[in-house]
Amino acid sequence: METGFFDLLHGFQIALEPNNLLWCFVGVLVGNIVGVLPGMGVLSAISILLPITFGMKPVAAVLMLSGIYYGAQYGGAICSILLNLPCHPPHAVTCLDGFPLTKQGRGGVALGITMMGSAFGAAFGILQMIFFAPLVAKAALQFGPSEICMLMMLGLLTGSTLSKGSPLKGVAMTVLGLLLSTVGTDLESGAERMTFDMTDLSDGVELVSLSLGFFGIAEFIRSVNNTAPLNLAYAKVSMADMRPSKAEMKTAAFPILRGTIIGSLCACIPGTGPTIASFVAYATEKKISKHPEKFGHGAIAGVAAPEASTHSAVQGDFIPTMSLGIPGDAVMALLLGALMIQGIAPGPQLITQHPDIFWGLIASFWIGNLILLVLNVPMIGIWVKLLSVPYKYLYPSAILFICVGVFAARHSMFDVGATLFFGLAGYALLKLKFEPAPILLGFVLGRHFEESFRRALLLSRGDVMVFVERPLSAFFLFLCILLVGSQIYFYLRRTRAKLA
Amino acid sequence: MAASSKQTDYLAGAVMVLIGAGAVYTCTQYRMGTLTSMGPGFFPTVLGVILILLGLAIALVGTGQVDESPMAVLKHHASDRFDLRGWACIISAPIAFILLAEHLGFLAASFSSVLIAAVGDRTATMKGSLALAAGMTTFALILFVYILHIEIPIVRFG
Repeated sequence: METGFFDLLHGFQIALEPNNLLWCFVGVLVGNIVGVLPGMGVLSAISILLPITFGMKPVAAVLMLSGIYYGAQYGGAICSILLNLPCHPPHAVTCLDGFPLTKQGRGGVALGITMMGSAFGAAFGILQMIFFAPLVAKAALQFGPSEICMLMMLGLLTGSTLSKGSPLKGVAMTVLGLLLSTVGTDLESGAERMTFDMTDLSDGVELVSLSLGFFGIAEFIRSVNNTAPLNLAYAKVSMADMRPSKAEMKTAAFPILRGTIIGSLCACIPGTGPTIASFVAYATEKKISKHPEKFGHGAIAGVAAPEASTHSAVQGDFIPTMSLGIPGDAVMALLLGALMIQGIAPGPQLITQHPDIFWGLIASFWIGNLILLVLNVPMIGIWVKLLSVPYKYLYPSAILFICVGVFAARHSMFDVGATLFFGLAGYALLKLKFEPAPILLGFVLGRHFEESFRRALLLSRGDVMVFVERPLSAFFLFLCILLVGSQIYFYLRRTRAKLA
Repeated sequence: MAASSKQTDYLAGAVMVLIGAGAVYTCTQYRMGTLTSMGPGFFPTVLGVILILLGLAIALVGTGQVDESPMAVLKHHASDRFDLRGWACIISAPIAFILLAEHLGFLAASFSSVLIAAVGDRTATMKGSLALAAGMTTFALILFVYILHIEIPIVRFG
């Protein structure tokens, strides 16, 4: 425990270095802007900035990219509460009570409560990471290739079945991502595969191309001329409006606490993440409330609980990513991808081998959240103005950034073309009601997954029973089967209910 | 609504089967190896087979997808219809960027790709789009070329 304290101090030393502090600030600022702008996604923002980080030191790169993620959560709440626009999935549920509050002229209070809940939730999430991540990593250091392989399979399955949409389609997307990761040179034999004789593909598909195609171009095609009209009539808030009264603080206190706990529990299950946490928190508040009829008409608890849970889940999301090297969602997959590009192998050894990154990141969370509070509370007027930037100016600018960003990643115009290809493919998948996020999970984990699968079988001399004979690996396999089995069970129950 | 979602399931499943089959077919050129020492073809072949099975399951069993989540009430998208003008402009913009960056340099590529993309919006005006293209080009020039030093020729002929 004592060493943990000194590690954290060391982390602050790193995060407060001017260079790192600057990038942390840039990250949360960009995140906040992206969160506020209706129609911009966190994934595309991180992907666009990813190539820029190639030339940076790993610590600065990770601080900045993570800053975008949690910064966007603050901005996303503003968008939901004042415009009734769920541009960021984790804040969709906040619209339900946030916007009615805005209509009653209490939008400022809703934002104030959100900021308090966010800061509290985030602080709790960070503490959870400080305590749990090193423990998890320590346990995971004992894992051999068969355990790692099964753990990854579990991570991929939870990531694809528990997210939104059909579980079957989610798994299909994960497999597609895994398949895409096999494009390029085979690590062991050096043979090129799935390249279709294109030399540009011999290093594999570029991560930035893939994610900007699926989450940039495809989204723009879907959204252009197709966005719901903005209702800016209520988007006026000043700092003075944000101060909640004592009574309002009291109503919000317990929902914030409960939301935080729900968020941190959801963070422990990979694949659930902030969106599910916010929905669970909202449903819980509604269920235990003495006045459930008030929900949907401007209940403070309906804003406080989901927002607190989102923020604690967002911070908790980093635990499996940093301690096991297994991302819970597409954003974390990108972050892992960024680490790999920097030449850092993610996994349980990360905390001991690169304490700068781990503890620097944690310290930067504290600093970043503080910066965000300062950015959001006194400067709320500026953010509200940003809400009115129309989509027709946003997406053309974003397309330019995508082209330049992808080009910069490898100095290759081929990759820009590949981005367009993935954009078209992504739009087709969206049309077929596929949720593309798990592709990124599969793609980022793919190589490592294949490697540990091959190694496990090499060590066991081709005996597949190795996955069952080693107790921990068998346990993870059991969890996988349980997960798939429960999905089938729920499916059967649903269809039976429909027939009856 | 039920019929069309069934149709989507068939089509979605068929696409997955095709991709899986394509992967398996491509992998026939690669060495499979044994379980102990797998060749490059092993893993993708297995994935291809799994994808075929998943595709069959999606098409035959169906996903029973209905918009039952609370998100269905709160949609960012007004509808899910296909917009040809937006589609054409958005895919032309990166193509213009690729071609022009190779032959005329960054300024021309940046200006025209923003302009083309902007025209895709039905409410766009010529003046507004030109102004956006000029503004973004200036901004991108400062950010990418002067601050981030991305190596790309600014003006070029041929």
